[in-house]
Amino acid sequence: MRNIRSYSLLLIASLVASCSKDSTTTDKVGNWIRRSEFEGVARSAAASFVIDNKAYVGTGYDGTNRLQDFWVYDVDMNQWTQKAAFPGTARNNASGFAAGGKGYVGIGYDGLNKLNDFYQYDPAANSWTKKANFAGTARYGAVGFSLTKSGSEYGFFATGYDGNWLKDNWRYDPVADSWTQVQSMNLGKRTDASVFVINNKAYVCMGTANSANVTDFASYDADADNWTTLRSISNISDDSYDDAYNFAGYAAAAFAIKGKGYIASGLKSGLSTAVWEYDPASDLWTQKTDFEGAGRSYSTGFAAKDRGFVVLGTSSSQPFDDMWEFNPAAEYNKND
Amino acid sequence: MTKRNYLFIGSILVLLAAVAWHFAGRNQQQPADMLAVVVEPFQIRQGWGYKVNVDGKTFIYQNVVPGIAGNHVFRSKEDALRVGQLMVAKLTSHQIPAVTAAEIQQLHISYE
Repeated sequence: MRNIRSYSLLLIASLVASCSKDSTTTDKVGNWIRRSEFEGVARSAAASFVIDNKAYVGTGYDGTNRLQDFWVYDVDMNQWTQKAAFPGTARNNASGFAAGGKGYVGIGYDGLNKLNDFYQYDPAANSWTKKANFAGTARYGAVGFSLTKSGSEYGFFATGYDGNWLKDNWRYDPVADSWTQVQSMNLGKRTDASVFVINNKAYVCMGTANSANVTDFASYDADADNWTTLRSISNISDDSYDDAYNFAGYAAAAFAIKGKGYIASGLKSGLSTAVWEYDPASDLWTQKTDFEGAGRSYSTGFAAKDRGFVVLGTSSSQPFDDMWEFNPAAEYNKND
Repeated sequence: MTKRNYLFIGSILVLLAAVAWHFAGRNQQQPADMLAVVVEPFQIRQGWGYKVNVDGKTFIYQNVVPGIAGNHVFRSKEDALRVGQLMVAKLTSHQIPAVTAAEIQQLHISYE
């Protein structure tokens, strides 16, 4: 009897030992999570720029905290890598652009203050450097884009919200590290607008001001430093071309591929999944296949390798981690 | 019953429970809606990095020390694993997996 008892205790001891050994010697350690609860790098209102077909995405808001982390997304591998943290205060609705092989992120909102600080990211060194503060008023919700002017690449921050809705436009010279105010948008003060660049012209559309969706639409030419007013994105003409235009809204994702611009998701009367394509040759919009993810706002749109992507964003309560590639060739199907 | 017999029955029960738990864990069918989140270290540039695989696919590929300026690699596999585990812990508890410089310092991680 005594022997059996000692034996059973020995068994328990060895069992416990083998269990703990299992978890310390393995090379792979992990855990489980319910698929529906997997949030990845989920956030809304992130800043982004694309260099060498890789999308750099960071800062933003996760529903509780403003963020400082920065990630690069590889579209071929569908993988994220966490890079050097953004050196400014954690923020959402910052703006970004890429120019001369470097990334730039600045302005935004830290929960208390509208910001005007501005930083450069060097992808080769994986490091950030503080640059000249944005010279316009501290703000958030501006569009960031880059254009070539006389053979050199410049960055731009335009529109946004500084306590008022804005239509000014500022050019950043990466060589001189200086800001210059350039031609403001003719119309349509706005914040949370969308921008895409086609043939070295920046198309600024969507956005909100005074609790109304902005329908004015214009493109900016950096060489001429002027704005061209384009057809409004609402059904205001007597002609039929705009009869279906119902996509005015804000906080939509935007990107340009193969000479056409795309607007996806955003806030309209509610969260939207609509996708519209803009053809600069005809100055007309066509509805495309709806975004297949959940309706969302403040997601990040970008193009890489002639492919369009919409990542992250938020519904009213939940930040998204998913990423979607848009195929412009897919037929629009109302019943899809 | 004597005190000794209680002790014996008690230990048998503990043993049975432990065996049952052990095998239940091993034979548990992976529920369809559960994703495995696993860290896998790899060697790179005379040091170490790690991957975080979610449901068998690499979701995070960390060939630099996260959150730190510069292109650093971990000195040891163990350090890569520890930081990877921290990311997993965050991912599985509804936090953004990003690691901060302060956390890297707290873990006494050495990197090149």
